[in-house]
Amino acid sequence: MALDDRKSEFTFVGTRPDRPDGLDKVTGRAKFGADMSAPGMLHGAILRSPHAHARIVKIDTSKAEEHKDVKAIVTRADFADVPFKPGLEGEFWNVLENVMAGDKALYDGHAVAAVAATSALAARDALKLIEVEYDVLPHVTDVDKAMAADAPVIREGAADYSVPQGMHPNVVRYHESGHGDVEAGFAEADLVIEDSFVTEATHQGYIEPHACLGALGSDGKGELWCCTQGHWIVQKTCAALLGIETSQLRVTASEIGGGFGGKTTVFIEPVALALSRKANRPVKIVMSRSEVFRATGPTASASMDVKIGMKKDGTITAAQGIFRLQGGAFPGAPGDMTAMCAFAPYDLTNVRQVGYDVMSNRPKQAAYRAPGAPMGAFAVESVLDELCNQLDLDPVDVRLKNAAQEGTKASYGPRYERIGLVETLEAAKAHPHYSAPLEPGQGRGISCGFWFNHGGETSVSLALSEDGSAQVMVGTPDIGGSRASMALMAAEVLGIPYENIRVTIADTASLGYNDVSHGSRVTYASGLATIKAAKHAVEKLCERAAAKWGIPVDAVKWQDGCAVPSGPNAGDFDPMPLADITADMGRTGGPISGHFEATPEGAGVSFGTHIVDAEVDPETGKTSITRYTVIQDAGKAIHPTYVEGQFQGGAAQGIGWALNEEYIYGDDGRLQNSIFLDYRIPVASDLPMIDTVIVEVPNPGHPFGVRGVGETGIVPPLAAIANAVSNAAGVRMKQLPMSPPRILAALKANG
Amino acid sequence: MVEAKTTGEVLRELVRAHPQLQGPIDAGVSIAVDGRIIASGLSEPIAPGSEVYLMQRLRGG
Repeated sequence: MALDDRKSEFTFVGTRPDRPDGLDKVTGRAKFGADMSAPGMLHGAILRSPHAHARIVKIDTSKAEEHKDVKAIVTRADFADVPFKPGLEGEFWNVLENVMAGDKALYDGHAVAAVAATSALAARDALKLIEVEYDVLPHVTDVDKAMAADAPVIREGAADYSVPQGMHPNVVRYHESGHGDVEAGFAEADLVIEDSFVTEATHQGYIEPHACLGALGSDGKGELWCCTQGHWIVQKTCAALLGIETSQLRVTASEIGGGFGGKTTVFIEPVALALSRKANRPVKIVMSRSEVFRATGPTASASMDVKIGMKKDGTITAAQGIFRLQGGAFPGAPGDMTAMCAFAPYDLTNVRQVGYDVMSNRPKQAAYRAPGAPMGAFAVESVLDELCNQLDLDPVDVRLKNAAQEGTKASYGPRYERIGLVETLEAAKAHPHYSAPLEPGQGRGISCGFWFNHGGETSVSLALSEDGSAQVMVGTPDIGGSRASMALMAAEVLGIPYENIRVTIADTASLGYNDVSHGSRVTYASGLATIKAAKHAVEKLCERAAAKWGIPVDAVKWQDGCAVPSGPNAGDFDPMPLADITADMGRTGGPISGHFEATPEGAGVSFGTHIVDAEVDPETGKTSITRYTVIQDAGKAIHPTYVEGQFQGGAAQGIGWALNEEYIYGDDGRLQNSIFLDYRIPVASDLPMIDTVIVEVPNPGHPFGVRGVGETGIVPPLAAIANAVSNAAGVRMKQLPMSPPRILAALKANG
Repeated sequence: MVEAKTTGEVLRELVRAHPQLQGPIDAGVSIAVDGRIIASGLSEPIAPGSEVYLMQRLRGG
């Protein structure tokens, strides 16, 4: 898409007004997934497998059906017959199989049946009356064991074209890329370090559990209210899984209490609709926290081998990474993304990366901010840190020496456009944090991180009101303050105050298809579409002004919220404000609106550099993060407070992932820690003030220079914290999370 | 070697010349044209001399 209208001087963009949903959120008026009710509504509950891997021999629902409060029971037979295909081509089948088990239960927590009853309590009671006969099968939950020759096969035929012959059927996708000759590169190095690293699965940890209210009639017409990052994908998927026409299902997105990638698919929504269709009543389902942990997407766990060669002056001569990710009992673990992102910050002559997508008896992984990238960065940046330590080199200087810049051939293939990695490293070097002295027992860690960012299908409408205010309809749920950013961008184009613009997340009946709020795409893509929709409206405003003045439309231009003659020859007219044009628009040609839809293809990749100080208590193994600084290229920060919030949120989630969060499975394949008391996310008292520096290297693919900022912030923390902890403890930490028992074990092993 | 003026033509011509690429292309590819990653658009222009690179289609969180 050609951008002929780039802008670098701003009136509204870059300011920090209050968010438009602020009052609703602090007063409790905002409606989240569980806040919607309907007359005659039933409550749904889902029966889940207690086994990690088991053949379902028989499901007997007769006793539950006799329960006086039960109105409907569904099993897999109540869903459409969706075709199975290998890999991600069969994603509808994969999602259906995850939403309701077919022949086998594939993980602890896998849904096998569901009940709708007149109360939530009755629904849960009725689950106990359903009798399921299981034939328990051998299971595997560890990625390395799942690839071994003797591993139980989860599903034959799930591997796609990419997997080399001879691999275990649990390996379902394979990626290999790179350039140069890594062996020749390693031979040139003064020091080569090769090491192995492990990360555990972590949950996105959104505070709002999944919740929905669905109504579907026997005529195939339905309504669905749900908590999601993207209601069009919900509409499309539910329609496919229930065998109805997509357009007959209207989906409305609720306010969302966190998603981070985990709400980009469906879990309970098709179940509520199937129950509703059977009971002919609306059905509400609200997950418990334990269900969220057991049966929604955590991120993948990883096992990785990284080898890097370096000269004494810090030049990297070659780099190689093998990244094995398990993503539960379905294809989709982002081993390809891990591989492509791992070495992306560096200008490498010789690089090779391999990624594996491996199935195991765990819940289907879901995206989690920059899916796959944080693990790879942990392994790569740990080895880089060790090389710097052993060669006595400054870690920022080494990264600057090897940093990718415009024109560099990326590790994943193409050459970079204008990027801002060097600027983040220079800002790190100049930041007072980097030169601040450390206390005894403290260590400092540095890491860079990379993420691609995404554009995606986008449709936005804007309508002006007679009083000169504007409403903007976008299709991307607001997960990071995007309504404020959209209003700022529309204000910039229209020239009316931010407060005069209301941004609404429109339902699926109001706009064309909008891709999910993921891939750091919303401020970029919905923002670009908002700008273009506002410009479309401005064209019409200029036409009306031209008609009123009786001059040609090309003699009118838009300036500071007013139509003005474009030059001295156009005529002598006072500026005509927007509200003067809209006041009588009903009598001068009708409503004035703007619209834009496209798949913007210039998202622009993004880099960040983090500095972390950590202190390790040698008695208890507890780590405290004492100082944290995030530096990231935002292209252009539309609302800087929310950009800083994204940076801080990435660091906070990274601290949890690095230090405490992990899925713990028993030998029986059951999840041992499915509540927040046992799965420890960071709380405020665990976190220092997280300082932020916004670097702005404009993205050439956006009219205002925006790059997505939502995901890159989670890429460096695991590595930066691991480097800080390793330097504090005097021993290289190779497994996450670095929980107190692991730190104590590492200290003991180190003598 | 294929001749193409748009991203869509690249994919079409690649499959015509190398039918075994149908699988990978159906599974989802993005095309980088001079470093700009075209996630899915088929009508993006490719100028003479451009660097064209096929990648796994990107996904995000």
